Parts: sequence; structure tokens; C-alpha cells
Amino acid sequence: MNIMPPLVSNGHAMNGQTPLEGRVITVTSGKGGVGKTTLTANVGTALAQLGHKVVVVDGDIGLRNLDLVMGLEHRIVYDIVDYVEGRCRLRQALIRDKRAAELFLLPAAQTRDKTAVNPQQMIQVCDELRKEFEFILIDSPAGIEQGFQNALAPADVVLVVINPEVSSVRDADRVIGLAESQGKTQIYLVINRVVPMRVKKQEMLSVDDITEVLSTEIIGIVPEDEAILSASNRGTPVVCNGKGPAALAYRDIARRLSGEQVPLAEPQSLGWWQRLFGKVS
Amino acid sequence: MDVLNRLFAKSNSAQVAKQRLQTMLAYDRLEIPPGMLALIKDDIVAAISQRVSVDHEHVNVNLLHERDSSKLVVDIPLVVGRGGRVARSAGASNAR
Amino acid sequence: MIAIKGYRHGLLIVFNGASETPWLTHLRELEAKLDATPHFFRGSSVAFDVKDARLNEEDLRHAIDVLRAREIKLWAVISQNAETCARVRSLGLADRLTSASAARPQEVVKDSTSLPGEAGDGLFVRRRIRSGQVLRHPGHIVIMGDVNPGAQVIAGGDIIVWGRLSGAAHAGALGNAQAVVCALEMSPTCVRIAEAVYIPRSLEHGQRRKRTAQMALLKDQEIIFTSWDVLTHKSRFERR
Repeated sequence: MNIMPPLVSNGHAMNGQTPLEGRVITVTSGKGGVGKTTLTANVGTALAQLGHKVVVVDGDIGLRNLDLVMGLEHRIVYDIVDYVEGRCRLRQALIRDKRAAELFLLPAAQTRDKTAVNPQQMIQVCDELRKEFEFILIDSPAGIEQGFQNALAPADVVLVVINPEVSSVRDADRVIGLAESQGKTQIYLVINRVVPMRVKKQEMLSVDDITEVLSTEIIGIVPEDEAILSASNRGTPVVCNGKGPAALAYRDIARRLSGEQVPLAEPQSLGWWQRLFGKVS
Repeated sequence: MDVLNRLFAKSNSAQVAKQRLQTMLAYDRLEIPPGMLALIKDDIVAAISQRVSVDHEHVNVNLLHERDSSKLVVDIPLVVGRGGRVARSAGASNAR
Repeated sequence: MIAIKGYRHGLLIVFNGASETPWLTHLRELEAKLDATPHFFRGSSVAFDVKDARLNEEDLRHAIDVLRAREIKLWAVISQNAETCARVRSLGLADRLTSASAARPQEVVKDSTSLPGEAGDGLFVRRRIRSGQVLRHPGHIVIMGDVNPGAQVIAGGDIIVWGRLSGAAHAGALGNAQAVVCALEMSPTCVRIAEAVYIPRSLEHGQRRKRTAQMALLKDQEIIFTSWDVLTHKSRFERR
């Protein structure tokens, strides 16, 4: 699947001298707890590992956690609200993640709430970030209120994360509808926390079931992986040194976002693949 | 052997998580950004250096959180014999 | 004499002969109309066309209150009178029907070949109706696409879904008991025709769906479903 047209730039994409036109990717879901933050941290890191200049933005003002998942929480001095309210320069709020070449975090404020920033301000922040970064990933909060609206406003690409269960799919449908009504055309689905055995037992929706209802292109299928929990405990995203199924899936998503043609999921075993894509009858 | 490793690895990461969480919660309650400590340390060292010589490399500024209170605990070794007064460590002692 | 119309961006309430009767009388008539079929209007945004009536601020506020009490929002008032327009604007309402507040413009098909007795304008939509979205029109509604669970379709006339109906459909919502709901695949969460309501017995996932087109209609005040057998043009009555 060819997702990304080449980045608009005047020369080498990695050359800091020419202005880059960065791409804003908003990661959202509607339902909470489906894995947005983990996905943002991992795909952002993976994109940086591929050589891109990346900033991940925590859109959950008041309940920040992207910093925790990335293990950068102890370095926060300024946050996005400090910048929006003029207390610091953008550079001062950006935290560099030393694990990858050009990976930065713009943290959310912990002591304010979603009304501290409005969609217009979010667009302005992203316009500034676009000058410096190739990829800007925004971790949207759960829900469809102000925080979600803020994260959606500047988006060029929307990634909707779901778990293969009915309430997650219903919420995703709502979110996709809202994104479409805002004129977003590049909307893709990530199916997260898939357990192939449960699909076989018809406890989990299959990819066909999901596509029937949502009719949205799938950009990644991430299996449930116990490595995720310890990674989150340590503040080290799995793609940093992991070879497990989730790490592979996250890296594939990053590659597709970069414009690479990567076939959707390699079967661990033929049976698993068939079960995942078979009609639930 | 593998089982043992995994067992220890899991409990290790939970320990790490617990420590990180305790620190984070203390910061959240005080509404201080965590990276602020580094800046506070620089400010303190700069201020004190104007009066006495400070051993910059071994300065320690930490957040000590107990059940009912939180403290900023500062440990500043001074350099002896450079024209400044000799002084022992200031403030409550804190394990380094 | 009040007419309810559907147009490009939603519902339009037209007050014909507005300047001949007192505004209060018009509002009474409007209240009666709204209360006759509250389900159709609840949650909607409407615009007024008051023709050549002269309305002051109190008149407009009164109208807003009447609507708000029924969970209806007034977003625009069209008037031929300049002073009325100015007062409309001062209250923060639009004085023109622009697409500013509409999420997506909807095409309205003027039915130029309608026979006497047939409803006038139809709404034609060619996309998937997603959860949380509400399609509302006083005439017929034709959807080329699926209606997802969590979506609502509310029509004064018939509802034709050229796709799978999984959401909620209310046909004849302005009191027409002859209205029908048709779908290529009928698996709704709720079907209403005029005042009657049908909620399927079970909604478990994986339920075998009927693969024939179905029509829901009102018979003896009960909603029944018939298969639409295209080849023989016969329909077999089927009670669920």
C-alpha cells in the first residue's frame, strides 16, 4: 500500500539547512486504554531509528503519560502549555531522547487541563514544529472532547487505534466519522493487542469483521506481547532493543509511514494467518 | 534457568516502575516539573559560589518525600583553603 | 401556516404569511407541530424563514426558548426585513443559510415527477453513516452505503438503505404510518414507523443475517418484515 507521497523539501530530507515540510500524524482512538501512547512512543522511536527527525507530542494535558512510557519524565522542565502561554521558547520545552539520533518529546502539562490549549494554538505549535521535524506524532487523549479536538486539528494523517472488541470498534467508528467531517482524508486503522487464539475461538473480532464495519485501510496489526508491560515499567519502548512480535509490528508501521511498501503482517505460522483473516462463521 | 531469568526480570521491571512512580507522584503532588531540580541545583550552586567556593561535581539536590511532608534536601561540599571559610555540609544530611 | 422543509444543510421551518398573524400565534402553531412528533425534532438544529415578518429581540428570544425546551437548537433566521436581520445577528444567530455549521452538505433531490400524494423532496446520501451521526429529513431518505451501529436515520417519509442497516431507523417520523424502511441487509438496532417501535429480540454478534433484501412496514399497528423477492416481485410475509 502506498501511503505517503514523498515529503516536500528542497533538497536532502535529512539536511538541516533546507526547510522541511513536516507531516503531522495524530494517534487517536475514542476509547481509552487501547494502546495509543505505547504506539506513539514506539512508532515515533522507530521512525527516528530509520533516520528521520521526529518529535512526539503528548496531547493529554492534565494526565500526561507519554513522558513516562518513553522514560523521559525526570527531564521535564517546561511543557507545551508553558510555550503556548509564552513562558519559554519551543526549544526549551523539547526534550531530546538520547536513544535515537533525532528524537524529541514535547510533554504535556500535568497541572492544567484540556482547556489550557485550543485547536488553533495546537495548529500554530505544529506549524512551528513542521519547520524542524519530518514527523510530528501527537498522542491524543481518549474521548472526543477538547483534547481530542486539539489533537485532530493539525493532523495530516490520522491513525485510529483499536482493540478487536466491539466497544472499541464502535468508538473508532465515531472518531472516524468526526475526522472525516473535519476534512481528514488520510485515516488509517491500527489493530492493537490481537491474540490470534482468541480470534480462532471467536472471542475476538477478525480483521474482516472490523473492515466490514469501519471500511478503513489498515496500516498495522500489533499482537499482544508481554514485553510491552516491562518496557513500560522501565520506560524503554520495545522497539529500542526488542525483537518480539509487537516490536516488529511497530517497526513495520513506521516503515509504511515512511513510504515503504511493507506487506501487512508476516504470519508467524500459516494457521495463525488463516485464522486471523478467515471469516468468523 | 530461563524461567528464573524471566521471573527476576519481571520483578526487576516492577521494582523499577515502583521507584519511578514514587518519584513521579511526589513531583506531581508538589507541582514541580521533574527537570526543575537540575535547574534549582544550578541556581543554588551559582548563588553560593558567589560567597564561597563550591565543589561543583559533588553537589546533590534531592527531593525527600515522607508521608506528611516533602523536602528539598541539598548537600553542598565546599572547597577548603581558597580564601573562603571552612564549612561542613549545610542542611539535613542526605544519603548520597 | 408553517411548513417543515429539508434543505442542503438541515431543517428549515418556513412561516408562510408571517406578517399577517401575530408572532405569538405562529409560535403556538409551531409548538403544536413540534409536540405532535417530538422524536423527529429532538436534538436537531433548525433554521427559520420568517419571510417579511418584523421581529424584535423579544420575539426571537421567545422562539429560542420554545425550541430549547424541546431540545432543538435555532442556528439561523432568514428574513426579508433588514431590521429583523440586524436583530438576528445581534443575538449571535446567522442570517443566511451558509454551510458554516453543517458538517457535510447533503444533496437534496427535487422530485419533479411526483404524483399527487407523494412526498416532495428526497435526501440522497452516498456514504457510510457512522456511529454518532444523525441523518434527519422531512421527506424520503435514500442511502447508498451502510448505516453503522450507533447511527440514526430519521425521515418523515421512507428510508431506503442500499446497503446494510445496522443502526436505528425511524420512517414516517412526522406521523406517516404508510412509510417503510427497506434495506439490502436488515440488521438494525431499532426500527420505528410513525409511533410504532420494533427492537429485535437478540443482537448477539455472529447472528446469521438474512441475505435477502427486506422491507419493514406497519400493519395493524405492528411493524412486520417482508422479504423483497426481486425476481418474482412477490413478497412473503414474515414475522420475526
